Amino acid sequence: MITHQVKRGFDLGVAGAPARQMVDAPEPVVVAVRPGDFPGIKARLLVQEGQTVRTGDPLFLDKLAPETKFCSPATGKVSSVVLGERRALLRVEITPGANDTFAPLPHFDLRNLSSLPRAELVGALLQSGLWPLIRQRPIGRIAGEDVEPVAIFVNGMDTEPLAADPAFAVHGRGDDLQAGIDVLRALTRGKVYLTARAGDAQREFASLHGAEVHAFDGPHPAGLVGTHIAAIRPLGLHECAWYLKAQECVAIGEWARTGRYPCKRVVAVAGSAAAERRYVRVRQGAPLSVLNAGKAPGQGVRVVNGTLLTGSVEPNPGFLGYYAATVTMIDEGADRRDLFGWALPQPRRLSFHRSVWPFARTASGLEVDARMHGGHRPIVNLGSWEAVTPLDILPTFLVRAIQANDLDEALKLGLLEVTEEDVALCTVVDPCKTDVGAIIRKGLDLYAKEI
Amino acid sequence: MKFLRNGVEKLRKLYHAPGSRFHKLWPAFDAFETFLFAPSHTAPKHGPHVRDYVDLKRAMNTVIIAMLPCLLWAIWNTGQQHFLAWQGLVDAGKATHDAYVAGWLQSLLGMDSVSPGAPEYVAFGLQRMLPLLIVSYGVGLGIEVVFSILRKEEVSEGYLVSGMLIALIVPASIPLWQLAFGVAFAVVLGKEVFGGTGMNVFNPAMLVRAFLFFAFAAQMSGDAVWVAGNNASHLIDGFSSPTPLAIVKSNEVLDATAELAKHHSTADLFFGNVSGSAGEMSKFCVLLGAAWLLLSGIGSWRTMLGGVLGLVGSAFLLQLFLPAGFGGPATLMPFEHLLVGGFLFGIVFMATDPVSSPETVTGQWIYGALIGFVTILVRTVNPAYPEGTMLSILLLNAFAPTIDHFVVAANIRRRKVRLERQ
Repeated sequence: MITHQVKRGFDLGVAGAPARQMVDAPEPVVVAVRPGDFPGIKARLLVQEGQTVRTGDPLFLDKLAPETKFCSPATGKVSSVVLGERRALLRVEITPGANDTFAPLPHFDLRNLSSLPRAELVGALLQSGLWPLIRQRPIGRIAGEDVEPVAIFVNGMDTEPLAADPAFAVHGRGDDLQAGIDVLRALTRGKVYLTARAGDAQREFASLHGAEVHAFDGPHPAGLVGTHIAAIRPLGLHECAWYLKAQECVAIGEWARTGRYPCKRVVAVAGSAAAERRYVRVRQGAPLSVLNAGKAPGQGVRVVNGTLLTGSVEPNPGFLGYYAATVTMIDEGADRRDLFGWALPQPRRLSFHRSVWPFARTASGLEVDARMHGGHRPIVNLGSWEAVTPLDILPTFLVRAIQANDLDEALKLGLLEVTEEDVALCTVVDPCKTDVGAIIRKGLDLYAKEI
Repeated sequence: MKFLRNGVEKLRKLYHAPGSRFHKLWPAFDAFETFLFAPSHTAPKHGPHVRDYVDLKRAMNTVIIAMLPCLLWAIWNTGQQHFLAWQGLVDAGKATHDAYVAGWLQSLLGMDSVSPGAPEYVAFGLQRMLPLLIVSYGVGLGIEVVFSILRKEEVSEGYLVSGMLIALIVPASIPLWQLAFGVAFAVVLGKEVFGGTGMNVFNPAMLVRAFLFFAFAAQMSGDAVWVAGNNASHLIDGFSSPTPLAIVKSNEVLDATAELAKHHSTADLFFGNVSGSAGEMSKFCVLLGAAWLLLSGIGSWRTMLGGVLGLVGSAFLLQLFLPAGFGGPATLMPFEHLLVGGFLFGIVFMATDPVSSPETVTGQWIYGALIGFVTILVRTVNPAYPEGTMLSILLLNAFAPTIDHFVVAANIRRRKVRLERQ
């Protein structure tokens, strides 16, 4: 096992971590599957309102990659198909019946994986609606089925604030995890890497075989796949790597072992505005009230599908996002205004800057809200972006190149080594309140359009 | 606080919504409102949902706090030097206390020049420094607000630092109309035409000084301007005193250290009991400011350390290759270059300006060191100007993007090598 030490970074000492306690959520009365959870796809609906679907039946596909199916996580009636502007599909809602009937999915013997043609395995994953779990770098979207990756990264750690601990979420699912790794190994001639905290690598993931285990230590972004790829197997020009979280690998393993669509996820409920902070085993696409002790989150609460750094705001009442392993609830804070907020020392505020409080960087248990704490300004570089970025990139120059629409320069500066999650900390610590992630995504979109 | 908040909300109704009465002037109102209350708008739907408590207002305010020791010393020492000079003239029989003309604040307080003490020092210092600050901030911020309204964007805080810097790097005797001219020139042509805060090439405060230096040389250089007085040109009739660097400037001075010691003790140079531009005399106060900037992480320690090493190192190397008979500042002991002139102030407060200095950390080392090197060149090799800090910082401002370019090119090369290895 190789241990990598990440030096530059910043752990946000936010209050409201989930307790390490696992409960089963009650079965929801409605579940929703939304194309919006998969940026970059164009959905074509495959079902009608009133139709009965089984768990694992496809609900819609991606017009741009028609083999990619998105499946129902429950058995029941399609109670409503919600369309938005220009008849774009917003979500498919299903009212589950009493029991799950599983759609027959392509199945194969795990022992014969090595003799299975790769295309057949890819086809099975696509058909079974598990393909969207696999994402690719560069760009950070659902993997393209026609390219073979040079490596696959299974992420067994998460350093984002209040994030679910993958090692805890997959605890006791060793067989499924192993099966998942076996499936991934058949998808690439390169290596499968499993990354984890040093302790977990020796405990939870010690008995796994077929994956090269790397341990990462240090502050966030030590747990991001971008950091892992740069440290383990940097991507050359025209190369791509695939990545998924440990729990998503477990889902693939469950499917491979049972032939059933894996419809349950473990989600950590976190943040100081959450009613009960703990790990919940819940059906995919469940309403968020299921996670909040049956109650809809209160007024003035920001519910985030995902973590505070990379999630998106879920309207109230909302549903659990497809990729969300954490649901974070914090106060919105839109009614709070601090007198002379720019001048007074602030010992209990989230900050990377010692001008706010000399010991701010080591503070923990901080109450936070979603306020910006300042107006938007042109970029004035105080060196804080570089101080939280362990990758060998120059974030300021990369951002400037994208802002100038200079794609060539941006690529030279390492645009393809990052996605918005790798620069999320830059956005957080920036005194000028620049949305660095949005700019990076704009650059990646530009790149995707050009190729 | 409740009262204030209600007042602000009432004010907000007058300008905030499009179509409201003063909506066209919203940047000016907004600047006032956010000075009182931090804004309450929240993070967008995607991306980070929490933000650092820091904002540009706080970053700039941190620099202003760092300059406070220098400002306080400027007020004290402007008064102290004024009365020392006057007493010197009286002692020499060139003036009498009866002939002393008091300024506006001194008259208001009924002060004279016989046995001046702390109150008299401070009163005289304020009498000169307050108008400088008011003109510097008034003209500069006024222009910034007008440009913000024209551009329909929030007023940026960059000038809060520049305004204070400007008052500290000009002689306290500077005529106010000249200062106003200089500020207007630097803010409009040095900053706003480039797009305002964050876009300028040169440090605006240094640009003010350079403008005044070349446009009004009589009021910015020579031996007479460094002690303020109350005559029509804010000077003392018949008094002049050369700055420490001017004392040793002549090529005939073969041992500058000894020559300097005849006029000023090392302690006086360090603590600032000498005349000069308003705020840069006390190296002690500059170091206090530097400590605060480094503690708060706002100033780049690489630029500062690079500059000091560049200055002392260049002076040291120069001495090794000095031809026989070469006199002047080159014969100062290398560390003494830190004690004389405005280098320390410049490298701590002006070279570290994040906008006009390199943004790469390697670049900051090179930039700092080159400022030190060029300063020594101007001080020692050129026959005209005793001090080179201003010119070297402006020159390196111009080269900052070039320095960055080479550091960025190295990063690109490194990436290429890394990817080709795969």
